[in-house]
Amino acid sequence: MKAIRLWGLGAFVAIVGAIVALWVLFADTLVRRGVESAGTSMVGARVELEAADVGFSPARLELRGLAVTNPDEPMRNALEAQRLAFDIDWIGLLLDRVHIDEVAVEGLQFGTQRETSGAVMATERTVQESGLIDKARERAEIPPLEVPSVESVLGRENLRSPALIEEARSKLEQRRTALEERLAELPGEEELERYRRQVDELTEGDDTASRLMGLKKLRDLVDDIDDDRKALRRARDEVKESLAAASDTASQARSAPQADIERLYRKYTDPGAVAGELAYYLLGPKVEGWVNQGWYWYGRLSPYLGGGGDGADAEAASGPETVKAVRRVGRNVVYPAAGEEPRVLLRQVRISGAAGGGDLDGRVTDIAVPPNRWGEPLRLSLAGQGVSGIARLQVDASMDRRDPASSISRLDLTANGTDVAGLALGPEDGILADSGQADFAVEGTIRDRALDLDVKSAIRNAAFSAGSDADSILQEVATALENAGRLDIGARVGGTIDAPDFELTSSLTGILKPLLRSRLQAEAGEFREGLVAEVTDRTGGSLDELEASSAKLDRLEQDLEGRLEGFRKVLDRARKPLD
Amino acid sequence: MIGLIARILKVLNSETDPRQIAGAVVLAALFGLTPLWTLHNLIVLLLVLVLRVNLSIFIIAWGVFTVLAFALDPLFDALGHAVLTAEPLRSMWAAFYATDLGKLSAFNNSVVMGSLCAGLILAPVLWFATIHLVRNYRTHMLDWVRRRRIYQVISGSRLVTTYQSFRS
Repeated sequence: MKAIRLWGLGAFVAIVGAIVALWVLFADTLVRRGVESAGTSMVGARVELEAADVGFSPARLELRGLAVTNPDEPMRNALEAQRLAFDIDWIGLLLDRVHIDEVAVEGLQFGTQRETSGAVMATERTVQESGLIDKARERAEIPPLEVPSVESVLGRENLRSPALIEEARSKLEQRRTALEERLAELPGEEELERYRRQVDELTEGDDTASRLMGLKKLRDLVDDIDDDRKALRRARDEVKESLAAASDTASQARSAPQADIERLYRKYTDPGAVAGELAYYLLGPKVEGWVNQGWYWYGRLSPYLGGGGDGADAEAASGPETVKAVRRVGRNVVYPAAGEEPRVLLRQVRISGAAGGGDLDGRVTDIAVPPNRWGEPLRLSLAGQGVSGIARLQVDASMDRRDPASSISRLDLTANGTDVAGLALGPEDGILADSGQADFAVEGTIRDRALDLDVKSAIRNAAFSAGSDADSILQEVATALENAGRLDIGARVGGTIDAPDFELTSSLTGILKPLLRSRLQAEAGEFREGLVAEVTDRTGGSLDELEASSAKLDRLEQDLEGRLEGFRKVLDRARKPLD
Repeated sequence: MIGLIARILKVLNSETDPRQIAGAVVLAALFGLTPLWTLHNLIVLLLVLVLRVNLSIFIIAWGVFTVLAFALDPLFDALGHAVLTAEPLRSMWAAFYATDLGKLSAFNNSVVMGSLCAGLILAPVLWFATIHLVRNYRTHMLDWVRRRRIYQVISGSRLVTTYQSFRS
């Protein structure tokens, strides 16, 4: 019997050949669908590719007509690229390893219109729903620009003083109870009377012997009285400390109504404060929207730029590490090895040529996943002219996650001479910029989870207009803005990713202040009087109770002083015969 | 099912060399017990096609071992993990893992390693056991089976003939 059958070898070659042939035939379609599917999952909105061209000798991939939908505006593309081309390593791809020396990106465009919506059902979201900063939505009402009635103010504002007074009164009562318990443990009138009797008995002997005996006992008694007096003194010092603290609490509570009055008076009548509120109303949502949008893209793309760090732990461990298998059941054991390379490594993405109606040149280097297996941090450097209405654009950024314990991302962006025509201010886009130029600068770092971002912008030579059906104040604001000639807007984001701080600054406050002064000052006096009367009425009863609690505490101190005086007198009486 | 039994009986009752049947069972065990899309299964497939093993028995046994593998996966997982993390073997696995071939083979997956180890341990047992069983069957049972009415019905019935012609 022959052990080998030759037709079997032929069949094997035919099967393997058929698989390879199928791959060659359908590679373009498979790559195109893969890019669209992975891209859509990354961005959270539809990513489309016109064509993919897979070359086998040399191994090269060319993607044409890439369109990435803006997740917040599904009828607009965040980015379009005419062509992306790079060499590929087939063995590496089979090993789930992507190493590319250079990706050439050409024909970039931003914010282009789409013919069909690029929204994806499963990932429908908006920046507003998952933004870093959500304060602006809390101020979606236009602030009152005339002095309102006291009743309406107190109807929508919370007075802080009643709660503060109640809290102070409760603290005083707690202190009083604690002091009364302490005083009950100390020698009182009963002990004092007993000492008096004993002093009398010991000093009233009939003969010399009994007197001498009495004096001896009197010495011991003096020591006892002195001990009790010392205990009372210590208690008095404690009571004084406690009373001082209680006095501070009561004093703060007493001044709380006045603080409420000043706060509300300033908020509703100070032109600067009201202008600040109005400025926030007009600019806050816009600036927070920019920050949130940047944050959204950072969060979306970060895991694909080495933010996941799934391999980081494996390398840090001394022995093999077990991770969940991706392709089949079971577990994959990962063996740490010296000099292990990243799973994904893009040494350089070169962007060049026409982009967004202008010219853009730059590169992104060292995109590595996991980043701790590569010696260089990710760096981005872009410079452009006339890109999407920005006269001069310069972006420098880096993301260093080589050490998983201390990552740091830096951004330095300047966009000068940006056309702001169409820029809308206010939550309902009440004011529109008809023309103007703006300079933007964004600078900041994200160190681990700590944020430090600074956004500055200056709008020059701007013409603003409000719609004919817009609120009259918005029309006045639009005129004031146009007359001002320049508007500065700034924002500072600090704190942490979990609890960010957001501070908005703008020259709009100064522009609006004169506009509001005349409106507010005429009615300010009457508003103040009404506010004082109403706040006093609402807090008067609580303040009386606070004073009563304070008086009870004072009486405790007096009581203690009385006891001390009694003990001092009886001690003096007892010492006299001994002297 | 009838066709399957008929096919097994046909092979067992023919002059097919017991080593061809045993080879088919051993390779089917390796092919069926381990996850399908692995590099070593390409080699097994090559061996199945090039070596003169019985293809009918291979296909039937592959099905049986695949079903068995589902039940034994937890056992393979434990066995594979123990082998992959065994201290004396660690440097060898690490060196193999550092190679492209090592990564392509997916040997570091606990189920791949466990099922492959189980298949390789079972291979000599299956080889000798199958040869022994086939020889004993032909010596002691073949005539008895041929005389059974059920065998005559299965192998000679119009139903089976029709079924087999339909399948072919």
